[in-house]
Order: sequence, then structure tokens, then C-alpha cells
Amino acid sequence: MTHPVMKIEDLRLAFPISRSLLDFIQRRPGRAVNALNGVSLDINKGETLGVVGESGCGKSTLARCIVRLHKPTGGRIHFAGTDIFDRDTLRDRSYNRRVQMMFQDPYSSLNPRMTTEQILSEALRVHKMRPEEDIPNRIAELLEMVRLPQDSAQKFPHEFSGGQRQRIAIARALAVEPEVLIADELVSALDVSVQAQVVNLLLELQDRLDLTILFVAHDLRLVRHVSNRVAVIYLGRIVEIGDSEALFSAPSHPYSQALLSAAPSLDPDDKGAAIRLEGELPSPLNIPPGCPFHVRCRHAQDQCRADIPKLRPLAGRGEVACHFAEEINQSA
Amino acid sequence: MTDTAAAPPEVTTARKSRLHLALRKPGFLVGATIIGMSILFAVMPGIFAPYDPNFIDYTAVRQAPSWEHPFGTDMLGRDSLSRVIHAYTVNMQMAVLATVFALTIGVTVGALVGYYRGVADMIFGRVVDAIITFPFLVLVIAVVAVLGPGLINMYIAITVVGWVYYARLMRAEVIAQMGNDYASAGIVMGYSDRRIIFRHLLPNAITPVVVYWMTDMALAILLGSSLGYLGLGAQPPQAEWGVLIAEGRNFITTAWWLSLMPGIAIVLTGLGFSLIGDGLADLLRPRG
Repeated sequence: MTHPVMKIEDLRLAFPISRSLLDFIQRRPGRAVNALNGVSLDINKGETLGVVGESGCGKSTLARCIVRLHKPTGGRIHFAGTDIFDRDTLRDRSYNRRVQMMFQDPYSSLNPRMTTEQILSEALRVHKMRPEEDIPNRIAELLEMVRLPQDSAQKFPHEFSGGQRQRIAIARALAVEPEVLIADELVSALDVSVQAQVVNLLLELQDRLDLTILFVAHDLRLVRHVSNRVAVIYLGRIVEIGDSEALFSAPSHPYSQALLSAAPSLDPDDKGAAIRLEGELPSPLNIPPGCPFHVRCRHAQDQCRADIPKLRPLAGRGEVACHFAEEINQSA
Repeated sequence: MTDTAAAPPEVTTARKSRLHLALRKPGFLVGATIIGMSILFAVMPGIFAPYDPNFIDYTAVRQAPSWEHPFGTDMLGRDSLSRVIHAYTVNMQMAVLATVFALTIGVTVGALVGYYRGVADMIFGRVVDAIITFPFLVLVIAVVAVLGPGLINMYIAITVVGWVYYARLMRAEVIAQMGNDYASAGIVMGYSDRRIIFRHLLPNAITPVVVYWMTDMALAILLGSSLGYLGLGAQPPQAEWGVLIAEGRNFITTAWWLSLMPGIAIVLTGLGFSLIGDGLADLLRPRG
């Protein structure tokens, strides 16, 4: 096996909700949105790790923690042998160079008052990636790399389409020659035809530049197409993680099964009954005790209501957080 | 800040077309003309004024407007038109000096508290509340009363009160801009806070502040002449519109032109700044 470049251990993040005066008077305890409830994850060198889940499950929060846009309330992220939230590491900007992120909204992720050239040269200059005289060459190279015409350098973001803007964002991230790229819903704001171009460009660059990618998305077919491994997140916890093909063809966790069966099949003869989930996603303000999924799970038993299942390897499959994974998968 | 020098030429195309657009708006054009003339009067009043503003002629006291003295003469026989034109120097100076320091302080403080939030922001909020509760003029008069009358003290007084309006506007705008991913991207890129605040957020957040600045310059002239009228700003024999109106007050029934003409100058300049502010709102908006 390849060695992990990044180790995430029991990552927790709760956003406190401001308490009103009435809460104080009535002595109600402070409440918090529990966005991440103990995520442990290894990201291996050179792989593409897909992260899927419903809206609000914490997948973007995870991505933002990794690039230090959020400070977790618990747990650790190790990169290159150090805890990235360590006081000394926080001051060190080289982490920001080595781990880069691309954002979802192509219309807000570029400064509207800067030309492509200014955006790229700023990244190159701040991190002193090239001597001053080589910067124009490097910018040309980067534009070439993301297949934008050379005259893009002098243009402002509003002169580009959504797909072109995402390429500029990719070029900006690549300018600092990172090792890990976090793609948070990179293409979900784009047209399907443009999505394919941008994703294929990303995969090609991954090969060429030996990048490790964390691909956060809600589009399951897209994730299947790009990822080597996939993690399924539910209410701020990983419920299943495993090799992409295996997981997509035979999901083990009841939630993954329901999630995948909700995606339309391409086979016209496949009239197989979709597994339909009962009820709503519980509020992250008030996470149910025990297995977070038990309120919607068809297989829920007493143990599920009491104990939180741990992520454990399942014979012949990936890792699953379910007390009854063996039984469920035998009967299926 | 280092990068700007490298690439000035490309600014032209997008911005030039917007300048044409703004110039086609009659309001902006009128405003620009008025302020352009005002600046000319302020810089070289001697060229436009027909007489020495302080030349006293006891044989021609309080004369009605005529071809010789278009705005009439005052109680000392001084040419009223020349005095109104010479007053442009000090009144335009008020528009600038009473606002630029408030603008600079307000923009900096507003950007910083908007970016860092936290305790500083809470304290800032209370300070703003405290200053805004008082009527602007009353507070300025109080500060001038403490410092003593005169132009310099008046500028200090207006700055002490006026910066909060800029800061409040800037803070709100910076917070709104922080919601954009380009701010997060700056953090992920490892850029310094200073670079993110002043190079990324500020240029995108400044437009409403600049527009407000134009109206504020109109208000500064109004406030400055109010204080001049009350005897707390410019001091006679200095030609200043508020002072001129105050001088004419005693003769308002017999020599109405003494107060009316500087009054019209105040209204006109104020209108000019407001019209420019309107046009700038279009001119400075990013994207076409």
C-alpha cells in the first residue's frame, strides 16, 4: 500500500450558536451545530479520494478544515509529520503552498478587480516560486497547462465563462506547485459538458504533476469516474470508505446503499426498487444517540440506538461503520 | 501593492467604456462641470473675481446688483461677487480637509474590524452607537467649543465625529465581501492579512464609501458654512460663504443679495458633489 500524505484523526467541529438573553435566564445550555463528529481518514499519496454525502453532512466543512479555513474543536490533522494546527505550523506558510483548494462558485472565487495575470503573479511572487524575470514565462506555462488562450492573461474574471474561471482557479492553485489539491464541488456549478472538460483536465494534471486530490462532490457518477477511493459521510461521520469500484458496485452500509440506489441507473431494464429513506436528515443541532443513521435505517435494532458503531474493516470490502454490516450484506 | 506597477495598461479598455457611459449621463456631466468650475475658482480666484475682495469703498455701500457689481456690494462697499468667488478657496478646502482624514481613518478602522471581528468589533460597535446617538452638528459644535473656534479646530471636530460613518459603511461592506470565496482563497493561498484586507477586500468594498464621500463633501461645505455663520469656523474678514451669509443677515430686508448669493453658491456646489456621487456609483461598479 502507498503511504498516507495526510492523516486525519477524530476530527470534530462544532459551531456554537449564540445564546439569547432568555437562554441565559432559563439556564438552557449553549447549543452548537455539530458539523464534524469524529472523522478519521488517511489520504494516500497520488490517489483521488472522493467524499460524498447529502447537503449539510459536513463534507465541505471537512475540506475547509484541511486548508485551515476552519479551526476544528477536536482531533488532529497530520501532514508531513506535523499537526497542521500546531502553533509553529500555523505560522509557517509553506503548508498553504503544499495544500491548495479550489472552490465551488466560479463567480466569487476570483477577485473581480484583478486580471488573470495579476492573480497568478501574486501567487508566484508571494511564495517566491520563480525569480522575478521568469514570472511572465511561468504564467504562460500555467495558462497552457489549463488550456486557456494566452490572451487570457490580460482579461478580468467577468470576461470568462464559468468553466474558464474554474480553470483559472486551477491555475492559481497549481501556481504554487502543491502536493495536495482539495476540490470542493469543483464542477457542480457548471454545465454537464463543461464539467467533463474540467474534470478530465484535473485528472490529466494529476498524472502529470503527481498530485493527491480530495474530491468533494455530491454527484455520485462523477465521483465514481474520478476517484480511486470513496468516503461516504453522514452527519459529520464517515459511515463507509473503500475502493471506488467496489463501493459503488456493492455498498455495504445501509446509508450508502440508499444513497447509491437514489442515483438513476443508466440501464433501462433496471427497474429495481430504489431503497427509499424514511424521514428527514436529523438536524446537526441535535444528533441522535447511538448510530446517527438509526432513525432512518430499515435494519435498526436496539444496539443501534445505544452504541455508536466504529469504522471497521469488513471481509472483502472496505471499512464500514455499522453494527450489523455482515448480516445485512449476507441477506442482500 | 508591488504587483500593480507591472500591469497598468490593461485597466483601460473595460474602464474607459464605463467612463463614456457615465459621461453620457447628463447628471454626471452637470455635476462634473459644476465641480470643475468650483475647483478653478478655488485654485485661482484672482482670475475670475473682478475686484479685490477686501477692497473697502465707503462711497458704494450696499449697492444693489448692477452691471458694475453683478452681486451688489456689502456694508463696507466690498464687491460681493469677488467675495463669493474668493470664498471658493476656503469652502472647497473644507470639502476636502474636513472629509479626507475621516475617510482615511474610517476606511482603515472599518476594514480592520470587519476583517478581524471579535472583541475589537464589539467595542467599535459601542463607540459607533455612542457617536451616532448625538446629532452631528451638536457634537461638532461641542468639540469646537472645547478646542476653540477656527478652521483647523473645525476640521479636527468634523473628523472626530465623521470617521464613524465611513467606518460603519466600510465594515459592513468588508463583511459582505468576506462571504466571497476569493477572500477564502487568499487565506488558503497563505497571503498575509494585510494583503487580503488592503489588496483584495478593500478595492472591492470601497465603492459605496467613495459615493458616500461625495455626499459627505457637500455636507462638509454645509457644515463648515453653518459653523462659519455661527462664528465657530472661519473668522471675518475671511471671505467664506457662512460668514458672508451672517454678515448679510442684518440687512436681509434691504440688501437681500448679500445672503442670497453665497447661499446659491452653497446649494450649487452641494448639488455638484451629489451628482458626481451618483455617476461614480455606476463608474466604479466592477463588471460591465
